[in-house]
Amino acid sequence: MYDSFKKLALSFVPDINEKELKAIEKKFKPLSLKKGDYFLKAGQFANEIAFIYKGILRTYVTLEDGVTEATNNFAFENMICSSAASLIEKSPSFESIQAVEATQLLVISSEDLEYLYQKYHRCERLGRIFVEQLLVEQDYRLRWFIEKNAQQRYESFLAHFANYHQRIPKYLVASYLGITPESLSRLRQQYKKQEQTSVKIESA
Amino acid sequence: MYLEIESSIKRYFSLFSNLLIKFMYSSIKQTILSYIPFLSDKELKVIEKNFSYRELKKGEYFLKAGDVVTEVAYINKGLFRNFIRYDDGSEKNTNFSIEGAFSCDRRSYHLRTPSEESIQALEDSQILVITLEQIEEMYRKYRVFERASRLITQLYRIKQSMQIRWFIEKSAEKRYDTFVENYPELVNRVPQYMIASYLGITPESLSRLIAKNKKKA
Repeated sequence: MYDSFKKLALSFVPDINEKELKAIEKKFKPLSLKKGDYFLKAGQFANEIAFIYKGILRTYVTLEDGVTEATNNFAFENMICSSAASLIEKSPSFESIQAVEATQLLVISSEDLEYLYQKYHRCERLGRIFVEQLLVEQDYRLRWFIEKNAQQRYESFLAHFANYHQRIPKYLVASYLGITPESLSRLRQQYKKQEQTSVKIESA
Repeated sequence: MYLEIESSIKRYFSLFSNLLIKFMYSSIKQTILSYIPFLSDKELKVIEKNFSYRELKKGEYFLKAGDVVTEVAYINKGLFRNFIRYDDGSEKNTNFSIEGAFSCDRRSYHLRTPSEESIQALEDSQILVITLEQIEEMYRKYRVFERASRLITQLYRIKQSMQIRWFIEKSAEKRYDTFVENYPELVNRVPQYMIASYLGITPESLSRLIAKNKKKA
C-alpha cells in the first residue's frame, strides 16, 4: 500500500530520501472502510488526513433542511482527502467524509504530520506541493460553475473522471454538479440519444 | 566642509531609504508572520531582497491570457481581478484580490502552462513582485518560507472551496448576500457587473436583486 504513496511522493519531491520516506511510512496507519462508513462525521474535530490506496471518498454537507446532502468533492485512488477547514481552525467539521465504495486508506494524524514537517524540510515541501495540487484541481472545478451550464458540467465531469464516474451512484453526481437528480437523468438520456445518433451516422 | 555636507546628505538619504524599505515591506512581513510565529532578521532581509516594488495604473495588466506565469504579486495597495475572456468577447471574473493578498494564476503557476486567465488592476495599485525562480530559491534555502507558502495556499484552497459551495448550496440571491457578508470591502470597490459574473448571474439579474433588497429595507 505504501508503495503507491511512495511513488507519488517521489514524483512531487524527486530528491526525498529513504530515511524521510521511512519516517513517513512509520506514521501512516492503514484503515479499511466499508461502503457507507465514515472517515469523518460533521460535528467531529478532524485530526487526520487520508491517502486513498483503493476506493472513493466523498465529502458532503447536509443543508439547512436537515435532509438534502450536497456533495462537494470526490477523492479517488492516489489522492489525499481531509477536511482542511476543520484541521486548520481546530473546529468541529461542517462537512462529512464518507466511503462511496469499500475503501482502503493510509491515515496520518495532524500531530504526526506536524512532527514530520518540523523534522524534515522535504516533508514540508511535500506537504506544500500536495496542497498546491489540490488547489489546482479545485480551481478546475470552480471554473465549471463560473463558465459552464449543467450540460457542459456533466460533459466535463465525464471527461475528467473517465475512469471513475461509473463507480459513483448517479444521485451523488447530481449534487456534485449542482443539479437535481431529475435534471441529471434527463441529461443522461439526451447524451445516450446523441451517442446513438452519432454511432448511426458513423455506420451509415 | 563640502565633505561634511556630502556625508550628511548620504546619511539622511540612507535613513530615508531605510524608512521607505521598512514601509514598503511592513505589510508583506506582517502577512507572512500571521502564518508563522517568527522570522529571523536574516529571513526578513531575504523578503526585502527578493520582492521588488512595482506600480500599476488602473486597467493595466499584471498577467495576460496566453502568457506563462513567471511572477507572483503581493498587493500592498490596490485591487486586482482574475478573469477569462471568451471568443464572443464576454468576460467572467474568477477572483478578486485586495491588500494583503498574493496574486497569480494558480493553474499556470503550478503546471507551467500558458495562462487562461488575465490579471488586471481595477485601481491604481502598488505591489511587490517576485519571480518563480526566486521563490524556488527561497523555498530551497529557508524551510520557513516553504511552510508559510503551504499555509497560505491552504487558506486559499479553503476560501475557494467555500466559493464552490455557494454555487451548489445557495440560490443566486443567497450567493449575493453571502458575498456581501464575507467581502464587504469588495462591494464598494468592484463594479457591480463584475461581481455578477463572479457569482454566476447576469448583471441585469443582480441589479434586480439589489433593487428588491433595497425595497425590503
